[in-house]
Amino acid sequence: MRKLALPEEILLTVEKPARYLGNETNAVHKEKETVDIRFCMCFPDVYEIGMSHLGIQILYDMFNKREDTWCERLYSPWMDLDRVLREKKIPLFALESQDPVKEFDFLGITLQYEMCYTNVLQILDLSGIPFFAADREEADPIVIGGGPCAYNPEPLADFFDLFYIGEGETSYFELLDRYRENQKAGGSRRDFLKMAAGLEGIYVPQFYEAEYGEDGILASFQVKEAYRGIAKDRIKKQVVSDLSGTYYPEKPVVPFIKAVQDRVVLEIQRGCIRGCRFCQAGMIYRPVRERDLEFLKQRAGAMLKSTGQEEISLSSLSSSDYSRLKELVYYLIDEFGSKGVNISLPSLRIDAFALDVMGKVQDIKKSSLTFAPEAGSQRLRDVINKGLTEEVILNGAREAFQGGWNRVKLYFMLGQPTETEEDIEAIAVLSDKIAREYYKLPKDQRNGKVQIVSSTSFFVPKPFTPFQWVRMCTGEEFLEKQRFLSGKLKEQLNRKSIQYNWHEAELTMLEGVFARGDRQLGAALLSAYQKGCMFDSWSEYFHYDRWLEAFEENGIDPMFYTARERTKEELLPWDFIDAGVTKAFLWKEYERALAGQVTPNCKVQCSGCGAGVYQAEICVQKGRA
Amino acid sequence: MKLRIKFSKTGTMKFISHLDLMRYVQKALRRAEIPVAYSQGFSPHQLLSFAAPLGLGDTSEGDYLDLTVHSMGEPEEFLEKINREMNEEIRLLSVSVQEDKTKPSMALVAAADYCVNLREGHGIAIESFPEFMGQKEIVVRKKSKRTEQEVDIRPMIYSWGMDADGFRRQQEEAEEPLCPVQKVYEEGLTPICYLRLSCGSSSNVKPDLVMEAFCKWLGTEYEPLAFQIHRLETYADLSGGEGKKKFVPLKDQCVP
Ligand code: SF4
Repeated sequence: MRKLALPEEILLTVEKPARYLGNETNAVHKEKETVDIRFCMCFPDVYEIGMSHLGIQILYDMFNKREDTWCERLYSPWMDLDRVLREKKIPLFALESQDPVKEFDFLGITLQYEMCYTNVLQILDLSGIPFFAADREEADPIVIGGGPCAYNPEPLADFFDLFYIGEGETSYFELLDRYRENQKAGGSRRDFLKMAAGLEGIYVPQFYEAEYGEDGILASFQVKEAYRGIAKDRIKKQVVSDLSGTYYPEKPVVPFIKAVQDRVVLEIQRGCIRGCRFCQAGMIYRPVRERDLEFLKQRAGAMLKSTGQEEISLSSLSSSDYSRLKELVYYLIDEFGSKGVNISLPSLRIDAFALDVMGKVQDIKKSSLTFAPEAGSQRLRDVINKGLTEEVILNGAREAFQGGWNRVKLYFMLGQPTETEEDIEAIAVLSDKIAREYYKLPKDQRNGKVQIVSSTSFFVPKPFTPFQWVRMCTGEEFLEKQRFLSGKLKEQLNRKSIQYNWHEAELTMLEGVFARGDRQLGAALLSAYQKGCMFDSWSEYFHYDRWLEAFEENGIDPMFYTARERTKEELLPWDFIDAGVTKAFLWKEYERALAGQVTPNCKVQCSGCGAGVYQAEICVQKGRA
Repeated sequence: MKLRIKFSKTGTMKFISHLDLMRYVQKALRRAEIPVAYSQGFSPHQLLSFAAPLGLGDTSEGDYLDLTVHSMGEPEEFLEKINREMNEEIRLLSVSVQEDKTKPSMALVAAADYCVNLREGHGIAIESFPEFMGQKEIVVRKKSKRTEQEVDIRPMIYSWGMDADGFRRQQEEAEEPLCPVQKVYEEGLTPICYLRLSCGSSSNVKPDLVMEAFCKWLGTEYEPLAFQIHRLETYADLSGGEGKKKFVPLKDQCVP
């Protein structure tokens, strides 16, 4: 039998033991004696979620292409195993070799959402790696963070040796080369960190110091005296200018158990042309870069062949903007549809093409239409620069209803800047208008009753967006907005056809604190973890009371981070990161938002956002690069 | 054509549940580009079904699946092609072409042979097992989702033995030698008894249930983790329900 880290008495008593086995189809196995670098790639959430993440699959494939490196995977042990590992003092292990994480050269942790921060501490703790980067010794792995939350790494600054800002394809190999050189030269951990600090996109938090004023606001942030000339003043985000030449797995790992994304994922483009002002992804992944059509066709076939998956999903922030979408989708349907392969197309704008495709690939009776207007009124949609009009929504819905659909999902956000009661009421009115559209159909063309599900989430201002300065609502304000909307929905003619889904406000508050947090939060995060906070995004394990205690004990006022408007002049904790989009552009966008002015998307007109320095095709075309 | 494939599931694959195993095989068939027949309808699925689910943690060298394909080619090559797409802990062992009128093995399965093994570090007074089996009836409480009832499982234990030879001598139909699992796959296991039990949708006795009853009878605590269950073979009953049971391994033609 393959050697496993966990004895069978444990595997037979925990939920879903397959989470901890490794050895899935396409997992990469190497002889550890034959490699110089062992990299443990971690997604700090449960296996089924982590295995659905495309970024890890790309880096896993890319690292394992190097002969001198073996990259393995690690996910958060679920609560049941967590307890056992602590009790029996079993060190956390990577899936492929089942070896302890502590034996690795690198522990890379992807930070996809703020609510996984306590899980990062769980990983370090169970691995036996000191929490604080400053306390780590020569034998400890280099702990490196990446992903969207690394664009404001400051709340986690104490716990990471390095952060990698931007897309992994560009600088990682250089980082690994340096590591090897340093290893061969017998250099120390510190020597390596110094070398790394000189690389583009690498941030070594220990080499910087942050000072805060009496008001708690960041007063200065700079490279420590001893590291001047070694560490960079500004960290430039890494971007792959042309995606066609880069890594993309042909053989993604296929889990034994059903993952959240139980399908092959084809990333058709990166970035987004739209510029919705609340959206962090839309800003930090600028500029948009499309993948080559022939490349995508080839990869789709190769991945389906190597995985045996029955479904392929297109991934991008806004699929409809991919210029060769029609060709790609019809190719996939013709080529693979007959072989029983399902094609899923998230983030598609509803129009004639979308309806044609959806009619071909899904069962109309079972599927629903999705719209994300994000705001109910046109006024507010202009403020957030969401270029979706009521007319477009109603036309799309009408055509879909004629085509046989009768279910609609609508997504909105509450608490965006300048929002009034009229804007909230407009959510209810729009939901009702869609239902009315359905009942305009002659009775014999209807397919039973219409079902509308309107969902609202709470708006959390994020770094590197035009709303990075704004005040976030308090929990009470959010709940009040929710109640108001709920009441308005009940006043609508078609209220019986409209279902309302809402969110818990407390988790959003926490997200708000960490999204725009600073180094002062590190101690509170550790306290919360020590009080047992973990898997915060799982409502059954979310303990808001413990968080409040942790903040209190560490002298942190959460409202300072959430419900406080920043001035234009304020030094923001993430200002030292150069994400392409300039602060001047973001501020201009903020002003335009307040004036209700929309900004055209990159394809229509370049707004000179700053991301042109990456020389992507779209910016070159617009003369910006 | 309807195929019945015998397979084994050993090693760490025992931690893969029945449902996940089905998904695993489906994907392997697609990777191997086997011309599998699909059902009609909006979301067609492979015509693939399994005879009798194996409990999580159990191993087997005698499980079956039914598969309908458009063509097979050379049986050896056919199996090899699929085996290449799976890890070595799942092996397709043999394939037989079934007559079209055969029932699905899920409906045919009537009994299965098991070897019960004791894990290292555990003990049991197995020498008393013959005495336990000598009872006229063995009444256990059987829990289903909603109800709990008393059942006599003795009639559902068709035969038993303390060693492989003794067990085999009773079965005229078991022509191949039994292969004690611990020699092949596992370390630290001692086979303690062999059982042929009723298996299938109408009446089903899991070996665990027998061991639990045995422990209760002995007056010792039943530790589920003490035993490793290994399935050896799965049978259909061709007696037509009357008189003596006529067990036939599922890989044989199972048309009465
Ligand atoms: S530089 Fe212009 S075209 Fe390029 S991403 Fe920015 S706004 Fe879009």
